[in-house]
Amino acid sequence: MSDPAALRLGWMLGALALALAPTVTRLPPWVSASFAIAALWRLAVQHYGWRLPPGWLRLALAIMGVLGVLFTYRTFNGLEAGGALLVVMGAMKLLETRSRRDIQVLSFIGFFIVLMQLLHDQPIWSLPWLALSVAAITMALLQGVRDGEPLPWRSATGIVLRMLAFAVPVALVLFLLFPRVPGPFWAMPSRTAAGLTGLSEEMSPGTISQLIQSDEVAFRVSFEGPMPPPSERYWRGPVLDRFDGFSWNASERLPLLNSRMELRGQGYRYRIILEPHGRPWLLALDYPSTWSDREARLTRQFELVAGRPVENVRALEIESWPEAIPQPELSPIDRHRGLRLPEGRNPRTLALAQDFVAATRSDAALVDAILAHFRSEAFVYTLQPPALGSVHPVDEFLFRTRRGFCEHYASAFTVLARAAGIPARVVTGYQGGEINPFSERLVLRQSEAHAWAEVWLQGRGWTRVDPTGAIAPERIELGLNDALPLGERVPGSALRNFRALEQLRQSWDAFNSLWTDWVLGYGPERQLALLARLGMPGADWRVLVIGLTVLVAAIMLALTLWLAWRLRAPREPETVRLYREFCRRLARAGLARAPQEGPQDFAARVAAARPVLAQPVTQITRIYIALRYESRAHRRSLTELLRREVRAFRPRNPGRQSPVQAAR
Amino acid sequence: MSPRYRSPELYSGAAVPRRLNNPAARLRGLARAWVRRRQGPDGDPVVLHRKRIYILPTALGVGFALSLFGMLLAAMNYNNSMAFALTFLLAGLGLVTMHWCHQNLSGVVAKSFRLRPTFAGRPARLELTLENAGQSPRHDLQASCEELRSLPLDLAPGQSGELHLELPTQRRGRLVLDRVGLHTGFPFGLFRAWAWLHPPCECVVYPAPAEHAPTPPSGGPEDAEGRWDERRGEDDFAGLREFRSGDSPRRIAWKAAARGDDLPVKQFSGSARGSAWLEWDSLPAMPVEEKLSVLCRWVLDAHAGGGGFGLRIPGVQIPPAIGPEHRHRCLAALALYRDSEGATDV
Repeated sequence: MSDPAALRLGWMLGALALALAPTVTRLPPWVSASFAIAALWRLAVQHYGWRLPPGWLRLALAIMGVLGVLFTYRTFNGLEAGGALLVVMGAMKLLETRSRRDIQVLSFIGFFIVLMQLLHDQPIWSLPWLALSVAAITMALLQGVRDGEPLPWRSATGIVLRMLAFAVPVALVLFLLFPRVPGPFWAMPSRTAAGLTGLSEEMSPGTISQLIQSDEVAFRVSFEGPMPPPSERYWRGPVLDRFDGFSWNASERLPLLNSRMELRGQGYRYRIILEPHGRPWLLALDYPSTWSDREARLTRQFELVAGRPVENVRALEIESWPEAIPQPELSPIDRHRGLRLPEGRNPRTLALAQDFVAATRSDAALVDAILAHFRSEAFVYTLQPPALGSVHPVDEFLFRTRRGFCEHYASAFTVLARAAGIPARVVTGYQGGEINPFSERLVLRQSEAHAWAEVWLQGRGWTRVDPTGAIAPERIELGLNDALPLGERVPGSALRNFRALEQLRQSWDAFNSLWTDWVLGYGPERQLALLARLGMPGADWRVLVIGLTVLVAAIMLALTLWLAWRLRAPREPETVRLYREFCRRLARAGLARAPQEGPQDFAARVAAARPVLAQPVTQITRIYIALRYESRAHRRSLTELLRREVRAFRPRNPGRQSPVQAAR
Repeated sequence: MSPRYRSPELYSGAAVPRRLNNPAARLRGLARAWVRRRQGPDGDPVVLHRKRIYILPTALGVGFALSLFGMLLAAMNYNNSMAFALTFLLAGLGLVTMHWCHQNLSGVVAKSFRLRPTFAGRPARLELTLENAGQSPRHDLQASCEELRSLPLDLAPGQSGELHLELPTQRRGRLVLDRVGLHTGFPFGLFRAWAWLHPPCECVVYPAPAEHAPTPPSGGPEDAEGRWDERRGEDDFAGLREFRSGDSPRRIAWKAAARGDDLPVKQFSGSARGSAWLEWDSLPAMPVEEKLSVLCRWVLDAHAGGGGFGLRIPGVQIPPAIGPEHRHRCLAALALYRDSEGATDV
């Protein structure tokens, strides 16, 4: 395999394999297999000197590949189908690769495969993988475009690494300063939400308890200034106000037209960094007043939603007021929505509500009475509630099983409140959070998903009521793990009992949070914050562009200087430089040395032409010849002597006589 | 020799107006003239300073830029930091490539330009030496002339290497090398840096030798086929003399040489006579170019035979002599022969 073509091919195949490695699990097996087969086929062609497959066969295979992708995904649109198509095309290209141009095209395909993987997923290892893949493809390209022998491995690696050493700072400057235009320019095919965990627009018994089985991080929050107490840490997700007797659904998300919120108490400023969950919820702390994403808006239910689903890490800055009064006045239509109940479902619950109405005088007292009922009766907070029938599930829960998770209590409470004539709704989201001691950020995991209720009270607007807090106050104050009965475990909790492991986990999470915040979540706000930190508050994109240009130009200048320095001619020995200076002085005095003239001949000619100069010229020439062509003894003192002689040597031009001579 | 020469192929855009109605060709002609004016004629050696190195992206480089733009749009649309990182890393690599490519050529010393004389219809070989005076290697250096490209050359630090090009010729005359390009696409072929050199370099293109030539009519030991008859020459053996540069190896007296003398050469009475005149006027009536071809064949045969010969054509008379210098003189006289009929003829 020492022939250059085989080496070229080998390099390119190796680089493509590296680029493809992380995507293999996502690709349909037949796509990966066809790429592998094409690669082996092409290697065999090279090794055994077979002929490349003929054009009609390649065409047939290409058509089959394209149809295969179409049948697998039913579309060419979207990242998955596009990625698969790219890999299939790469495999086809391999089968016709013979020229330099083909190698170049393959390297471009390789770069796009890397891009596809990065668009799909950006875990922390994707950065080293990105660097490695780019280096490998670049190396294969370097070897592939050469006409002659491939470069030796060492020097090729040296060239690529040196180039990257200058390309990386450029990339860094561009990454930090290239103006990030927010938002998409056109509708891009959405990535399927499958595989992403998060809240949904529907809640039925068991939805949340399923979600909390996941230990994945949902989002991280860093507060600017004080952090609200645990009992105030309610992160608002979808609000559900349509009940069909069994499950709760969100109504359409209409924007909140006029700000119907009275700000009170203390505001909290924070930055939230969301992991992708495939839905538009931005999970702000109750109740958001300002936020940094222009596309995001507040709905009539005070949910903060993004313009498009959160499919990548998303960071934004929000200010929230937990004690604000949302919607002090309730419109008739909202009241109607807050009281709707399906007819003929859960009759015992409705009857129980009438008992509460009879026993209390105000709405607030009624709410307390319901909570007191949960507390006084034998209700149990558990992750493993018994299954409920689908006709009268609330009745079954309230009167028979009495074992449930937060969604059971939120749902039962809301139905009771509505039946008693109080506008109420279910809110899902996250509650609590764990403070990472290293990053000092609040980390919220899927296991902290929660459901609670809201009732509308005269003078207090929509008021949060968390029935779970009545059953298991530890859930709100300390977290889920402390609220669950013995024997029930939150995922990952077993590990938390080992101190060292817990430390490791926390520091890894802190590292990850830096990654998501500073790399994945780097956006326009972070750019401006960076400029502000550099002493340029209130700078806009023009400053970015200027800074960008200046810095990239500086790096390029450094590169040019470095390259010129590497390619400089070696410095001549001092003796030669001194003799050259001596000749230059003589040339200025009208005695230029001819190129073919030896030092001795030159000295003789000068002495004959200008007897005044005979003595110093002979002296300098003799030292020069001794240093250049004779023994190595006394080298230093001779050089010193030559230096002194040449410096003192100032022949005068006979054409320009000194004034003294002219006067004579 | 006459001061005006026919130029069979002047490698010069200014002098050879080709398809001037083609705007691209016209633009190229203008660029060529501008470069020539800007740089002036070159000496030998030439150091490629930064100011005379031009650089443009290749088609592949443009494709690379378009790919990057696509990646940038994707990164913006998905607002994906890692896609931005990839795009920017590749953009940085592209910028570095441009400088690397430029520097790969900058400071190269080109020297020892030489065009070897040839016969019309056969390629003239252009040779030049490149020297890497720097302290790190240079790669993929290529010479070009018109559409021709030499093989690429790598140069280790301080090393020199030779490049050559085979320039096709069609007609006899003086071949003036107008300019030669030095190129490099290193490292990735995304950019092409080049320099134009206008070295003082020319050669003579001899007429194509006639394949079937009549016998030279005047004296000389050649037979009826126009070939020198060596046996007949041997009959007139006239003694030995010392070897002189230009003597045919066939005429060295190897036996005598083996005895230890300094390469004795056999002398023949025929060559001593030196009376072989190759004459224009001895040829029957035929087109000028054919006459020149026949004379060329005669000169070659006479030289191969080793005897002295002289050449007499209108306006030029070269007395009999021997050796490669003489052969070249005669062939050059034929190559540069000028008359009005011939000039319009071709």
